[in-house]
Amino acid sequence: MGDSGEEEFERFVRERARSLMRQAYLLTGDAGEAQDLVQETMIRAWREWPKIRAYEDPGAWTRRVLHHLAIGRWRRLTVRRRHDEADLRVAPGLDAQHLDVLAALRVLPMDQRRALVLHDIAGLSVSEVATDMGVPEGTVRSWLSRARGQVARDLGIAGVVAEQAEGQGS
Amino acid sequence: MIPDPTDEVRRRLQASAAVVDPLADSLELRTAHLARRTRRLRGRQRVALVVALCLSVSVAGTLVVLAGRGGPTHEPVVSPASVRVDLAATPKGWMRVDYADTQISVPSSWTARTEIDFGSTLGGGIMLGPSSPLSTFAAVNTPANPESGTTQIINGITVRVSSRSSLAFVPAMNVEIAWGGSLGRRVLDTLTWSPEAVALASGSPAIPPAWRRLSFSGVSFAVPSEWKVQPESDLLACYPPLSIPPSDGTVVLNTDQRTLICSPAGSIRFDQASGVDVNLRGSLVAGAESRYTFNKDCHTVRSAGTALKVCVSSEPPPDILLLETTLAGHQPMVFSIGQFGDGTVDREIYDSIEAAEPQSRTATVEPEEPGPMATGPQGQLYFSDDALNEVLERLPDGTFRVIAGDGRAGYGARRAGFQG
Repeated sequence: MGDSGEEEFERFVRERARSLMRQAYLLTGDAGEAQDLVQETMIRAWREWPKIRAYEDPGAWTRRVLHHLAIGRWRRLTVRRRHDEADLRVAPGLDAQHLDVLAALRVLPMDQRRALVLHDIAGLSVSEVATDMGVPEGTVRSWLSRARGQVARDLGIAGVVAEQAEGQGS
Repeated sequence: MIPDPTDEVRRRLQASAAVVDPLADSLELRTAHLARRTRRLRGRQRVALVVALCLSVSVAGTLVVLAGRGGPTHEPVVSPASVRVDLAATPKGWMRVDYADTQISVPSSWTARTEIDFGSTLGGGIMLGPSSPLSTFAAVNTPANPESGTTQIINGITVRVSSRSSLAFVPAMNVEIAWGGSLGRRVLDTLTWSPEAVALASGSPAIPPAWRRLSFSGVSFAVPSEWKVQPESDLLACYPPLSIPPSDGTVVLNTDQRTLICSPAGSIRFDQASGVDVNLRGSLVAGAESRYTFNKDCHTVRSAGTALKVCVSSEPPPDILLLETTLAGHQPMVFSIGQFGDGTVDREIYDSIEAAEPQSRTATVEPEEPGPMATGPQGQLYFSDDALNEVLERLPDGTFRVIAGDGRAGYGARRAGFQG
């Protein structure tokens, strides 16, 4: 890979790292895991860079890899021990409100959590989330509604009506 | 003013996510570093492949030894006498959950996480817990790389408990138990052997003389005499696929060709019931997740002169001892033996399975549901039996012999019905 490719890749990484790190952190609830996932994603991106640099949106490729890795790791670790709260490595300097957010996310089904992260953190539209996750838009709306209702209820956010918490409506 | 909940949730998520920005900035993501990591990763993958191969050989060997299914060259690492279900290990109000040789107990309100919950398979393990939070749970699975730890004895079983985390490895069962939350350690203390481990332990138990033998598609097996026999199951539920949870105290002999459409994954049922459900293989057509694999290293070939293979499922559904029998000239059959209690009934049923030989069947077969009768020229009494799907003849000494039918509806008695 030539110098221009390396420079281009490093620029790509600088632009994407924060967003990927944020997504990984909310998907796993573990700062160390999030770092590992982003690192792993970028290693794969580097290996495939000659190919994915030609894509219309290389960022979508890395996002999918990150989520794929997060799901795989989450699946394995859930069966083991990492979901024991004592083992989780949260980011330093956190307040109780932040821990509540992580706890609220942790009880969400993975599909709902992913949809929420893609929409609210990665900034994808409902249509883009649906394409990314391979499900109809209506399903995404339902997941988002349920997830927001659950999180809002767990965080004690005022104005949450019971119907929203149950995931009714869009 | 009350903030919009949707906006407020988004704001809090973004605020929480932003705390890891400094960590993102500190990641070593420069290309030179990534290139080094790539080389290291490839090296590690090669090493991992070798380790995985070694482990798979080791694990497969252990399973054969522990299950007592091996040939004479295998020596059990655990004395069969010590393989027993400690019924007292289950606290009142808790339910027992089996995973291969292992049984643990959890609060009855807990549920099992299914594949749907996780988006995919659990790799064969079972994860249990309340619906929320996930931090309280117990999980049982086969470890890829068991951790070492301090040795403890729980209900007579040696356990290595990790000093660093809530994780225990049970060498004799080759399982790992992970837990979280306040009830986790209590769950570990309920550890005992499963009824399946008892059923498959080596040795030959004596079949109680009061039991009766049934024959179905050339295969004979014994069950407690009080268990009722029904020719077909009306149960259309399809979990576990390819097997049907037995009903309490019932032997179901399924021959129908009904098609069952199964969902790809379902909630895991834990309903320990006595009973046997026997299906002619091929009589159930199930959905995507429908195939259980049966060990190639099958149980002993039973019955002198007749080759009968009895293979145990390597990934049995919960609470069911799943077997496949293969007998020349007959359709393969799938036995679902309900695991319950201390496993001794399961063990005796399992051990009683053998090829049904017509000569011996005449002396042991008993009518179930005598149907239309006829008499022969010498006063012999003939009748069809709707439960056994056979035509029987009553002999002068009061015993019965099968003169037509092989236990399968449509193949035996009904086709060989009386004329005129």
